[in-house]
Amino acid sequence: MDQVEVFQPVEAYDPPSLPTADWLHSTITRVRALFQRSDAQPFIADDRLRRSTLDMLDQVVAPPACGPLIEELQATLASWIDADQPQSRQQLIILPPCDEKGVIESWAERYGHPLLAAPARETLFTAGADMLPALDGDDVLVIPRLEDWFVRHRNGLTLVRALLSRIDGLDRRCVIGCNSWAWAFLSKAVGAHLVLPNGLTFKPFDAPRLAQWFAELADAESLDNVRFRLPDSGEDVLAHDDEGQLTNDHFAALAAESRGVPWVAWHMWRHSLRSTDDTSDEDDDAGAVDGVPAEPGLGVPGDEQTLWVVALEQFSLPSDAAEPEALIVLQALLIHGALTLDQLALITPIVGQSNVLAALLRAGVVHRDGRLFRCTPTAYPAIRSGLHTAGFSMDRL
Amino acid sequence: MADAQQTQEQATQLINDLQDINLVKIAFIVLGTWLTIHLIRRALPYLAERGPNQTRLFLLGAVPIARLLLLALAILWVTPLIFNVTLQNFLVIAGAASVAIGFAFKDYISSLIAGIVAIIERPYRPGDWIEIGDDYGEVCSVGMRAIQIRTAADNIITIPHDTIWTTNIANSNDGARTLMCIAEFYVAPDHDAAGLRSALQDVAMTSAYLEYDKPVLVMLKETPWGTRYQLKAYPFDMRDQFSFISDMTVRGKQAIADAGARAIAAPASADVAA
Repeated sequence: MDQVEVFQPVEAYDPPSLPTADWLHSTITRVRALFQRSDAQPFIADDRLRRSTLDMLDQVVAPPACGPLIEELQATLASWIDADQPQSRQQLIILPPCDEKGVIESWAERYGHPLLAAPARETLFTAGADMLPALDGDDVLVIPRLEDWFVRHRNGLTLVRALLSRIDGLDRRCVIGCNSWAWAFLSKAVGAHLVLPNGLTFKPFDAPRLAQWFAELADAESLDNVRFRLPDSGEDVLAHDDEGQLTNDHFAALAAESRGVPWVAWHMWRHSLRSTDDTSDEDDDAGAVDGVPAEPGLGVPGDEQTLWVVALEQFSLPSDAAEPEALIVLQALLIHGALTLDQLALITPIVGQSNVLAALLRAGVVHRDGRLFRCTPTAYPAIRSGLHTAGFSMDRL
Repeated sequence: MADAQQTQEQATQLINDLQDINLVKIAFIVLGTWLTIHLIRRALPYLAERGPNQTRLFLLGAVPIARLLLLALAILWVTPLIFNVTLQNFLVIAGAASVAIGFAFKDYISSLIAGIVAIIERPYRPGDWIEIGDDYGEVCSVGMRAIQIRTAADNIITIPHDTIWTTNIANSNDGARTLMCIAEFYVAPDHDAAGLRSALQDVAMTSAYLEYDKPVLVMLKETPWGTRYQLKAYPFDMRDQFSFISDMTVRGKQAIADAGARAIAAPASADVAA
């Protein structure tokens, strides 16, 4: 990227739209889903990538999943940090959920800003304002995840209220990060938007940005022979025409399906890649897996550095994950980022014993991280769409 | 003899000659209209329940309007096929119909007309939650003569449209996707009212069913047997109203206990509504 983009107001966030052909396909799929709810298939097909393939993925689509956002955040905040008299001493950064690695933490660590650690979530149910640490200081204070400071429980808002009150009167520059679902909740429950009115977020990742980012990731490991090709045509998805435009709509579709969120696109991109080696032992009879030709020929170069790009076909939640109980759990996970089973039981109104998490895990919509449950990044667009369809209160991004 | 001949001529003019009436065409119109209405009555509610929440009430509300338009179209189409439509004939038919309606079908016609008025004035629409008399429930169908509502106890109650002439109709959502829910608590007067009010506010704010774009209110009032709290909030989907009230009630009782207050029950003889 020649010029580093800067963050923009949250209100300006406009997710990329689908190309016409993909939009039609998506619409037909949605209409079909109205009449077919007996989908027993997992949301994300069993990951058929072998370990060797994952190793290769780590080379050609290397972490972190946030792309150039750390540089963009620095470009956004540099002048504010250097200013003698900034207009506001607080900078609110609102990001979509499923940012597991933490853009703001990474930025703070890279540029040497102190992080304010949140207390353990279990303590928030009984926390009082006295638990709040001292915030005084001269340098830039970073609170990377405001969602870690509350629980959506009648006793879980005390500390975040105290924190916002302290921030409001703080004579120190402070960068506050919050995920968009938590922000929507906090704006309603504690009026957080009155204390921190002007949230910023990144410019959505459209097709050119995604293509450039993924091309840089592939080039970074000096893998000159790697080509990302579509299985039906053999076309290189990163190819550009003479005017520098992408020659196909794959990245436009990826940008739209990921809603312009880089970590969602990054996970989708990894999930969509297949190596030709996979086709030989996965399904010899059919001769192809997910449309990937078994023979590395079909009129296109079939060297070992070719990765086949398989489109993610799912646009909606499977029936198990679209049940009201499941959606309530998913919304709670989006607001909090990650929760344990006990915490989920405390903050969701599910009566009695529920097996909804097991269904969500099986569907691939939720994954387990130790004791914590999180929404799967690749499933986020479908989760968001499911919540919107069911009428839930939504985030802004 | 002359009078009889004149009457026969009038009758001949009123109705087209039998050989000129295309019965097959009329049958197709009637059958097509019936099939289309039947299809709409099945398909739109089906899609409404399975499609996006945002379009549900629109689809449900389109059913009676579509039926009315189709019926009107069919009548306008069939009438000239049978009758010789002139102003004079219209007056003759209207006069005869008035006599028949006045004696035999008064209540039925009254309900039909009220049904048309209800479609235009919209005191209720399919999907609305209404209260007529002592019955509270969701309007599950708006027919030609009557509506059907499904109560919280899963009873279907049929109410003729002409009820709107004489009875007040309380519509809880009036076409919106949400409605106000109220959880009530009675607390012994000796407690920290400000603290409890704040705690109850957080009860609603932290409910998973809450609609963010609507307000949350906690109202309290002293009564002879204690302080009455009303926790008022809106769920994001009115179909969750009973779950929402139950959720607020359960957690509200916990909040009352945590606040050191004591929930009380009104005396059996007390008039709670007062």
